[in-house]
Amino acid sequence: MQSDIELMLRTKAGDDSAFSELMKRHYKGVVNYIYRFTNMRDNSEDLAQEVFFRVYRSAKNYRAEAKFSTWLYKIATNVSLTHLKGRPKNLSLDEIEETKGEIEDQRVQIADDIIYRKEMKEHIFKALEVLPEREKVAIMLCKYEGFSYEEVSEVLECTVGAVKAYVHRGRMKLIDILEPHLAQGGGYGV
Amino acid sequence: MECRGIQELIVRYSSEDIGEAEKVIVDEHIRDCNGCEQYFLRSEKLWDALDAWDEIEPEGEFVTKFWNKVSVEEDKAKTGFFGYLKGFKPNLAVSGALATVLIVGIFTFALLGPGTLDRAFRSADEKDEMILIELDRVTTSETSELLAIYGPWDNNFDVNGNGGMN
Ligand SMILES: [Zn+2]
Repeated sequence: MQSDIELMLRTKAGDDSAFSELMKRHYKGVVNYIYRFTNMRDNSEDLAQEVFFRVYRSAKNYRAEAKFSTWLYKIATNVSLTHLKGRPKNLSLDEIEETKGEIEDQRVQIADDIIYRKEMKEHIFKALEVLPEREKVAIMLCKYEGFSYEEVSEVLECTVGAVKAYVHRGRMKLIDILEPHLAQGGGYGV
Repeated sequence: MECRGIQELIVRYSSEDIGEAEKVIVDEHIRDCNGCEQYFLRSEKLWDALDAWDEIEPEGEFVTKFWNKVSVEEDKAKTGFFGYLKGFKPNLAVSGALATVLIVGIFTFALLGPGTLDRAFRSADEKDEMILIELDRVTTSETSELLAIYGPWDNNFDVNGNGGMN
């Protein structure tokens, strides 16, 4: 299997099939990263398209110095932040109302675990949104994208020590914010 | 050590970023401190609790949609250019201005010699290249600017993890 860097170099040389292969490898991760970053399911695919479009457009200038995935997620972070800035603040609350409505409609069929996950998702998003953005990015990349501290340090352009500090501080804040939902036994009214 | 200091160690304990000596300090403290013991349990639980936010399955056809988008963008670029040509209606003032530019151009060419023409042909290619370089530069600086709201990007960062908490 060819590495991401090899595929990107082939893209640079004009081979679009190589870029298709790169997208197949990474689009699900990017879509989910943006989804969790913005908590907007409907837009996340369009924004991921935008991310790959930017990567494709700048392929001609690609230098095989940085790891491809750190470059990709740097752009994904950038696109997500731009999107969040243009979004009305109360939109997230509307989404919660919508979710609760859905739960009301289907309450008979839905298992407790699914209700727990739906509500927990909103609590996690709101908690992550309270964090300074560097802490949020560091935690999301480590937790959901499986990045190492070294890889996160490339995305955030800082030292590994700083990344650890972001993750640890972020975790402390999340423990405080999510305290009611981290009760022993993991139950959420179940 | 005070409880908050222990709690910082606890978080590092859960991240497996802690030395053996520090582990002993935590273990001894939480044996006698109920608050920190509870904190330890919550800390151990946090990372897994974040898994409650499930992944979504993208709708599919992502790659096909992408190439459609690329061809639409390319068409737009072409239409933009031809649209401009179609809407171009020369009038006397414009013709006069063009004539002036042409005369000045010929004189300049005569002054600077035959190499100039060569350069003019090459400039179209160079322009393409510049657009891409600019795009790359903008993307990079845009990223730094946006992420700069976190604070400074350099390495003089307090890695002890005891600032910024409130
Ligand atoms: Zn204590």
